[in-house]
Amino acid sequence: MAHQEHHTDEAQVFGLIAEFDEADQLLSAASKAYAAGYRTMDAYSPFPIHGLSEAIGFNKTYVSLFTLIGGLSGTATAIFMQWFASSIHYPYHIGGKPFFSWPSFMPITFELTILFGAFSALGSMLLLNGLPRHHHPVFNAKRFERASNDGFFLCIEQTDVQYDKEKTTAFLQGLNPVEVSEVLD
Amino acid sequence: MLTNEKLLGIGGLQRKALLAGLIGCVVALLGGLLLGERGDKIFESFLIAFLLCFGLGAGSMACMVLHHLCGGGWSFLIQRICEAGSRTLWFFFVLGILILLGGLYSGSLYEWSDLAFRQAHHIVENKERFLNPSTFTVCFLVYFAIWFAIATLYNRWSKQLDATGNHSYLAAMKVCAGPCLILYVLSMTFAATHWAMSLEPEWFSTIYGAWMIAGYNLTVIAFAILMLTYLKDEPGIKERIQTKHYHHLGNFLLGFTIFWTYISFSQFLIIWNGNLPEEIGFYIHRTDGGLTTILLILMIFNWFVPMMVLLMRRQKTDLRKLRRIAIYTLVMRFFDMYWNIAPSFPDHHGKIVPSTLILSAAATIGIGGLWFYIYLNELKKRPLTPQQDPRGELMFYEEEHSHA
Repeated sequence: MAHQEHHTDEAQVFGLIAEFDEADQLLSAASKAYAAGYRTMDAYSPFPIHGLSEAIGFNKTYVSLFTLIGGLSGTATAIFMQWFASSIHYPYHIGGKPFFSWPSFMPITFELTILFGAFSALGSMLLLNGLPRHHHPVFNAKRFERASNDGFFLCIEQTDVQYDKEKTTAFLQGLNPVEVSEVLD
Repeated sequence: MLTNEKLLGIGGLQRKALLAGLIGCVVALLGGLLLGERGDKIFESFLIAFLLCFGLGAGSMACMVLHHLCGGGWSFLIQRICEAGSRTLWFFFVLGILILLGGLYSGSLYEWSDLAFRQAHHIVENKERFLNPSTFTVCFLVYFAIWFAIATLYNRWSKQLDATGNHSYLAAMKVCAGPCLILYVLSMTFAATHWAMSLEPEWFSTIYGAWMIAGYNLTVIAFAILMLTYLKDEPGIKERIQTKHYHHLGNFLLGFTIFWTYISFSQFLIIWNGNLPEEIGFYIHRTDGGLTTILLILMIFNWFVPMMVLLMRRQKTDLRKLRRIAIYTLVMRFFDMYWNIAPSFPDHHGKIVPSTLILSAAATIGIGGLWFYIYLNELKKRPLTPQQDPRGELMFYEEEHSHA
C-alpha cells in the first residue's frame, strides 16, 4: 500500500525546475545537465538564446524529412495531374507542341512542390511538438510566468532515466539557481 | 600586415597559380593559332574564359556591397575575401581591352562590327545605335568606370574604418550600398548585352543580364567558400569561425543555385512557349546536335544534384563536403558559360566543337590562374578580417556563448 502511494506521488510529479537570473547561467546549467547525463529536459527563456537548444541536446528533427516527402509528393501530383489532363483526358494541340510539354508544366510543378512542402513542414511541426495544446504542466511551476519576462528556467522531467528526486534536486541546487522547485503534473 | 606575410603556404599556391595560368594561356594561344584559320579561335576561347572569370571580379564587388546592404554576420568572414576580389577589376579591364575590344576591332568576334553585315541584316541595322564599335568602346569604358568607382570607394572606406574605427564610414557604406547595387545590376545587364548577347545580334532577351549576374553570384559564393576553408586557420578567422558560418554560406550556395536555375529556365520557358522566329534561334543553336548533352549535364549536375545535396544540413556543416560541392559548382560554371557563349559563334550553331571546348577550358585555366596570382597578392595586403567593424565583436560574443 505504502509502495502504491509512493508510486502515485511520483506519477503526479512532472519534474524539477530550476530558475536562473541570467541567460548565461541557464546556458551553462543546460550544458552541465547534459554533460551529467540528463536528456529529457527543457529550457525556457524570455528570448532565444544562441546555443541553448544545442546545449540541451536538441539538434535533429524529422520536420525536414516530412517536408521533403511532402514536396516530392507535390511534384508528383502536379506532373500527374497535368499529364493526365493534357495527354489523356483532354488532349489539345497548343502551338504545335507535344501533349506532354513538360517545360510548360514546370511553373505549376514548382508551385505545388512548394505548397505541399510548406504544408508538410507546418503539419509535421505541429504533429511532432504536440501543439496546439491548452495547458502544459510547466505552467504549474511557481513564478513560471516570469519565463516571458525575466526568468530563465531549466526543467528536468520526471520521465528522464536518471531522474531521482533527491539527487536531481541536489544537482540543480549545485548549479547556483535562484530556486529549485517540484512541478506537479 | 606582418601576420599576412606568414599566411599558410600562400607563396607556394601563388607560384602554382602563376604557372597554371601561364601554361593555360600558352596552350590556348598556340592551340588557337594552329587550329583556327585566322585568329578567331583565340578570341572565341578567350572570350568564354573572360566572361567566366570576370564573375570573380564583378561578383566579388557585388558581394562586398551586398554585405553592407543587408548587414548581418554571415558575410563578415568573407568580407576581405570579396574586397580583394574587387581590387582585381583592373586585370579584367586590361583583359577586356585585349579580348573584347581586340576581338571587336579585328572583326573576329562580333559579326555586327562589320558595316556590310549590319546593312545586310535589317534587324541588326535597326540596333545600330547600340551595336556599333564606337558605342561599344565608350560603354566598355563607362561600365568599368562605374565598377572602379564602387570598388575604390568601398575599399577606401574599409581601409579608413580599419585605421580609425570611425563608424561613420560604416554608415556611408550602408547608405551607398543600395544605389551601388542598382548601378551594378544595370551596368552588368548592359555589359552582358554588349559583350555576350550581341554575339547573336538578331536575338534578344531582357532577362539575359540577370542570368549572367545569377551565374556570377554562384561563382563568387563558391569561390568564397573555397577561400574561407583555405584560410580557416589564419588569425582573425580562426577565433571567429564556427560551423554555422559554413552553414550560412552553404545556404547561400543553395539559394544561388536555385536562383540561377530559375533565371535560366524562365528565359527558356518563355522563348520556347512563344516559339517566335526572332527568338527561338538562340535555343535551336543550343539544343541541336550534341549540345543537348551539355544542357542535360547542366540540368542534372548544376541544378538537381547540388540542390538535393545542399538541402542536407550535414553537407553544409561539414567543411570537407562543402568544399567539394563548391569546387564542383565552379567546374559546372564552365559548362554553363560554354553552353551560353560558344554556340553563338559562326560554325558552332547546334554542335559541340571539341577544339573550342578544350581551348576555352585551357584559356579558363590560363586567365583563372593569372587572376588567382593577382588575387592572392591583393589578399595579402590587408588583414583577413575588418579590424574595427562592430560585427566582428558580435561574432566573438556568440562564440563565447556557444562554448560556455
